[in-house]
Amino acid sequence: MKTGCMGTFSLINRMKRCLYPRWKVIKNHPVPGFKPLLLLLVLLLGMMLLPGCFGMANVPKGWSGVVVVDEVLFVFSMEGKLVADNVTDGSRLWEVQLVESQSSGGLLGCAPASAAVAVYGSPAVSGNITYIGGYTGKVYALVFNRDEPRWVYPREGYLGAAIVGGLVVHQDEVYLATSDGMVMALNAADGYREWVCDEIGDKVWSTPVIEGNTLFIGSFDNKLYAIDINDGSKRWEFETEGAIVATPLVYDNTVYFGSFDRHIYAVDITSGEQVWKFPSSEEDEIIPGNWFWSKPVIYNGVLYAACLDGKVYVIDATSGRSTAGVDYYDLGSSISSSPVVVGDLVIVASEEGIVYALDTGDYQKRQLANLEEKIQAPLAAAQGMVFVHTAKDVLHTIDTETGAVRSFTLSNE
Amino acid sequence: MAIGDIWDLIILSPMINVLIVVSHYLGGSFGLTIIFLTIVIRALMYPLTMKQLKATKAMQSMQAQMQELQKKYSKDRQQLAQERMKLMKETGVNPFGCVLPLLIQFPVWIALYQSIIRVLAVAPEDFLNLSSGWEMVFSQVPLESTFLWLDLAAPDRFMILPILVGGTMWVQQKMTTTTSADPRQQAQSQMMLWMMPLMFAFLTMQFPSGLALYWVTSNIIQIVMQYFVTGWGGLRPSADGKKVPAEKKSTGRAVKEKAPLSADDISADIVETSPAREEELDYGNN
Repeated sequence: MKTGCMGTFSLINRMKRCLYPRWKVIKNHPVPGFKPLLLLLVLLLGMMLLPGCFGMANVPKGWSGVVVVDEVLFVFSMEGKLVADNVTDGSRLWEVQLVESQSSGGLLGCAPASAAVAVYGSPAVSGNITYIGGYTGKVYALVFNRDEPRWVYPREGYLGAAIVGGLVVHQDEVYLATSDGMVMALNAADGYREWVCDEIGDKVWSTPVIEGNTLFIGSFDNKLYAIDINDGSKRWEFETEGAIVATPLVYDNTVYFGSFDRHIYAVDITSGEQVWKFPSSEEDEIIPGNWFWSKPVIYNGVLYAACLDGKVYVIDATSGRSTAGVDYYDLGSSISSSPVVVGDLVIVASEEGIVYALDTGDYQKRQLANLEEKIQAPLAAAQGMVFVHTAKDVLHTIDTETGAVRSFTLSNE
Repeated sequence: MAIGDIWDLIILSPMINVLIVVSHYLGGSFGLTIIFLTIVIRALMYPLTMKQLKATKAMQSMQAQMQELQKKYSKDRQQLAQERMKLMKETGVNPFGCVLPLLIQFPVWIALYQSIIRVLAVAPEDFLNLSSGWEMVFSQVPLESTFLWLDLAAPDRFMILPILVGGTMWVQQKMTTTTSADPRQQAQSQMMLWMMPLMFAFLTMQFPSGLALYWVTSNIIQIVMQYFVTGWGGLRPSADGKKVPAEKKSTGRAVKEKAPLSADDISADIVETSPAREEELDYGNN
């Protein structure tokens, strides 16, 4: 059998000999209108293939953040691989490839029958088990250094709804939310479902947060929910005027979160009553210009909330008003990645790829690194370093003191 | 600029913006917005559609002449084809007429599919990109994805829309179908009468129901327009209530069923001949 170029030409010639007589028949078909009708059928078939073949199916890739536990960092690559690296020297300790059996884009043939799992939330680690929620609706419990999962949920098939937020492990249970508005608790050891809360009115993309016996989570129905983790019953709900995608932050008996209505809210965790709202009225001088997508951080009683309008708003956590030092930092580019605190610095990354250090002492903004890659995944920090997973599936480690950058490609070269 | 960026700039972003703004004025109902968009697109295509419908009506009127030609050139398929094309040219009928409106709508279908995925928050990356648009646009999203029994971002799980899409398309095709004395043309008409509706019904089961809603609305508008131009056409029963029979039974074969194929016989079915045999035949038009 001929190979390489000769083989290709031979195949083309054979196809020509096979197709040409048929083309002649079609060309000379006695029935008028036959050719346009045949063209129409071919175009319809093309339309069925188009979404997969030309990337119009918008295959989700994910933007997993990094988790650091005991000198090991865990991150999920955009090729569906859970990776565990040594924090100090970046050496690969373990990796496992996850594959889903249903295609996530395209209709006929162009999208593969099996595809890499897309993950948007950060992994959750407890002991030697890492928990991952896949976009197609499956939870995986992976044991360190093993290829096969300890368990998956559901055992067969998929949940029928995407998991976009991250998972949380708390007291031997794994908590997650799905895009059909379900919040559920699974037994961390064996994956059996403990309870499910179906009182949420719309899809959930945010990661749950747990404080005491209460789980807090936002939804596309404009509400923040407080759910009892013992039985999944709703304790209270708080309504805003926009969808809530940002992961909430709990601090000092108050839950802080941002909304698509361009406000930051502080709500009492026990009563569900509003403590304050920023800005407090439309007459305020400072009005955020876009959605709050990422989780805020708090340092020294001051809340730092990053917004898609490119600004990090600095708010007194008690009063809800701008601080005396600075109203906001303008990064000039949308911010969808959640910031982190390292020492007395708030590290934040803009979508265009620039990582900044905001000094909480003198209110100065300093460029730490320009990675020149899109950043949407949440940041992580450990041992004075910041971990950034970019949209090109590269993991960057930045030293916050020196600004030195180390980069590791997570995808196969 | 990449092709995708050009597509986004010229087609997709404007469509998304229009959908969101219209949805705002229609009480936030994305389903009504899709119906409104369909009406607007059909209105823009009105001149082309009318031309196509008139051509269809002309085809129906010249059936008697077609049958005359069929009788006269029954033994000479090639001459028959030529005479038919000549008659169509003289009467201004274009065999591409029925295809062009569908071809023009292809980019609309693709853009609508992508718009639905974005504004209804299906994939996080696409939805996040909406935040960089006009303030009036991103302040409205995500849009309400439910309409009647449908989740507009997902296929209809009750299978009602596939039936509606296939059914309305069948009615539309049937209204334009003309009975023909030529058994081959009759066979082809029958094939298109069923194949197109079945294909679209199958597509409806795969794609978001928002896109299927567009197809149903578009088909209904077409049926109404067709009725006023061509009447019920092939849907109309005969005077005694029975279907109007074809003048000849369609057997797909020549009258002398057992006559062997000759070198001059160009009526061979594509499937039935072998490549070697086809190469030997002279089809004329060289």
